[in-house]
Amino acid sequence: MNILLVDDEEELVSTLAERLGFRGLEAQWATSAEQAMKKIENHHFNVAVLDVKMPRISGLELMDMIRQKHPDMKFIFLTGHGSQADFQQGCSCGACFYLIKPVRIDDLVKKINEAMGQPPACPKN
Amino acid sequence: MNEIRWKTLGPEGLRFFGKVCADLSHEIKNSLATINEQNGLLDDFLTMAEQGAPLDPVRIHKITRAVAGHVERANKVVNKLNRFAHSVDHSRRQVELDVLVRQACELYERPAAIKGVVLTPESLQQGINIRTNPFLLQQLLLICFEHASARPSPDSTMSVVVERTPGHALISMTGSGPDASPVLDELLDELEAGITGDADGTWFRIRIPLKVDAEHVSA
Repeated sequence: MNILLVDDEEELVSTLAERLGFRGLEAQWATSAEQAMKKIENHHFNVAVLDVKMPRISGLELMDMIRQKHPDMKFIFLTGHGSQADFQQGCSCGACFYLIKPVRIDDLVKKINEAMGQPPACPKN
Repeated sequence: MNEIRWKTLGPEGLRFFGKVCADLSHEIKNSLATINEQNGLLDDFLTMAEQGAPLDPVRIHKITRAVAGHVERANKVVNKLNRFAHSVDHSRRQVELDVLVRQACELYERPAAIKGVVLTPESLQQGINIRTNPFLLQQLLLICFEHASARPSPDSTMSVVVERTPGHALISMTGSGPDASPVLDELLDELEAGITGDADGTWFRIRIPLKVDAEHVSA
């Protein structure tokens, strides 16, 4: 299973990728939407774990960009703060899960596995 | 702050206070999340060591440095938050304008970065003391920053300059000034300030009268 992690906090995202690797999940990381789109051109990913608030292009905007090329990819939002409105916004446009930082690695692995068992994301309106 | 007209400024001030606190707590959360992952990574290494893998001191030092860096970063944000929270303590007080403008720039650093804009306090003249409402002045500055960063310069930078003119202090920023609104009008009125902009929209200026405390004049 290939995971793409995107967060502008480099030490966070690189460490998460390494720790997912220890748990048998191949993870690559990017610190911006632009970097993430380049990674997607060259690799196939099953799940993207996205920060919501990132410079220039938000996680929600990035999800829309990715889904235009890879409609079957699953999404998990990982962010500093969450509200019910954020969660519903994420879900209504095709996200599988919404996790609040700091997250336990086992919870993230569980959500990734659950996301892979989900049906394809709802079609974009 | 009971002499301030609360009808407009009260709810807007509370909204502004909440927004700044939310932005700053988001920054703290990011540092906590990184510290949490570094702790988890250390735990992973220890688990692997228990299973016979050698511990790499270089990696362990890297983790401790990262944790120390994020503790320092979070502490700076907490200091920002504390200063901002105390800015409501006095409805009027003597402030050093360069210090207050720098603090306002720091409050807007992360929101500016989210918009891909770099906010630069370019030249902040020291020694300009004014008697003002520090909370309302910060609110005015952040309204201006928000407006200017929505239409950034081609190089995505925003400069801020503080200088003294006869009888006034000037805070100049790149971009066009904020749109007229009841909140802006009331803020300018309370602060006895005015905003003027260059015809070509490249710079605008907040003009504040240089009023000082009597004890400051005698000092």
